[in-house]
Amino acid sequence: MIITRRRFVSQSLASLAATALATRWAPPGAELRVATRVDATQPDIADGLAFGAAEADRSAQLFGWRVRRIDLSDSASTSRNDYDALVVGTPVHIATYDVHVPVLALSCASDGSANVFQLNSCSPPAATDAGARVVLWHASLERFGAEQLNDRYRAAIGRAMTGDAWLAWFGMKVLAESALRARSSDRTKLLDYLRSPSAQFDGHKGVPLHFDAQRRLVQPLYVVRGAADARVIREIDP
Amino acid sequence: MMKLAVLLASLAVHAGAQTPRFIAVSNELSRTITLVDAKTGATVATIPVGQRARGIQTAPDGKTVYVALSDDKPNVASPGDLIAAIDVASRSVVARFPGGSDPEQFAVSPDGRTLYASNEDAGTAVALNLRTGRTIATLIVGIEPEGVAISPNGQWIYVTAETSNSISVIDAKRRRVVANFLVDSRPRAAAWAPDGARAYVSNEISGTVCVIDGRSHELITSIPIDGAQGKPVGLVVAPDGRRLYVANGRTDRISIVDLRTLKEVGRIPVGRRPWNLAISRDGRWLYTANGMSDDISVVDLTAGRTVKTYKVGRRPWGLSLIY
Repeated sequence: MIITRRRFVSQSLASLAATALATRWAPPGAELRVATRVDATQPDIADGLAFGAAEADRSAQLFGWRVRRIDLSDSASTSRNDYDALVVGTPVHIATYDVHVPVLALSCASDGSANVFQLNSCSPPAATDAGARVVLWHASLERFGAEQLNDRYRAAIGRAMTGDAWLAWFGMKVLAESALRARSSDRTKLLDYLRSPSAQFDGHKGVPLHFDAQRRLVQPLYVVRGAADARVIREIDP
Repeated sequence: MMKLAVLLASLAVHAGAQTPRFIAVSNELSRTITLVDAKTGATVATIPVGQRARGIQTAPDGKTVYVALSDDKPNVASPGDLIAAIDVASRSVVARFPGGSDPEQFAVSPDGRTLYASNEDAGTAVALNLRTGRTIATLIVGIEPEGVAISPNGQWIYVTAETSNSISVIDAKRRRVVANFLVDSRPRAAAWAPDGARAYVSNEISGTVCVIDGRSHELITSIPIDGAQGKPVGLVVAPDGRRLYVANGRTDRISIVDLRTLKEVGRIPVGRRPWNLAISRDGRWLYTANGMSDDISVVDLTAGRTVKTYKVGRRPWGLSLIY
């Protein structure tokens, strides 16, 4: 195909304009490096992280960003300078990491450092209904995009999304969205954004999710009853 | 010659009509389109479409109603995912076009030639040539796209993405995404001002409407809706561009926003769980599809209240007006 000079100039200008528009959100080569650590007993968290990283990268690419996941589970030699934020499934002892890096904790064992944000609900109310239990997430949820999220997860991973998988997916979403809204992957700016009262996130639970003053995620929980045919019977407001 | 004159006269009457003849309602659960006489509320036709009916739009010439249909198989493009064309005169489905995977909302270009649809589970938007029925572009947008709105001059198409919290801007001439920008949490629908200077996006989870500069494609501000307690979904701008009407889902009412002050100035109760809405050309009548009460509300905006309720099919999703 022969491209005329006029067509070439027109296409180049159009491409430049499109790039300029798309990258107002991002410096060239913008990247968010998220380190993750899980252990072998946490397959749902591992799956949720993989799924969450893929979705976070997919969204970030709209804005000229990339989200890169660095698995620390089997690479102890990774330098603290090799990542911008952490999502950790194992107990968090910040001395292991860095007090200046944002850490999203998925387990409830955390040393409470000021840079650790707790995603799990660590003191959930007891289920008063017979045979029921309280969960963070359930595959039978439908409203506010929950059904679509469950469908996407099942299509990608081949299993139903559990509470652990949701936690891990949400952790990746929170970090990617924080970087896009802060327009930076700088650790300090990420921490500032996560700590700001206006920071709200959609976890497909029907209400904006946010961190309280102790950096704990404020979120609805669900009462589920049944085994193979388990269904959500009640929602617990945050 | 005589026939042509009659036809032109008829078209002129309908083109100039200020109040609709019919309201076409998509019913997601009953998988039908209800055609309602706008004056009497009588159901004049119930048209089976065979699949979940959601997005619905009348073609600019008023002769055809397009409906987005999707089956119950998520994440798989199948023959049940399509755009159906309903002939208003014969009240029957006369064409079925491929609409990509799980089409939900769409917009028809002002010249009636091209239809842009969002594909919720594929994260894409498609452009469809309505003359040939062929897909002419498939574009990557955000995750879980839903709302589609085209600027009055036909140049820009905004596609909302509920998971990515983004708007993708499609240039209609180049058929490509030329920009993306973030809005508030879970953007559902978009609507343009009549002059194309601004667009508005409803955000279900943050309970806000974002005001967008329609030329630079930048967020100007966010307006809290219903005390940020509502779940804004559908929205429509008055023909004179002065007010915005927002369907609030969970709170069973619509909100009225003054577009000069960018403040919410009123709320009107309608049926249960209003999802989408339409407004008459004269700006007096507002119609809401009420998903949980299986009806539509007719709101007299001059009186500021709901004056009629018409029963339709099960779980009405959207509606479009026919003049």
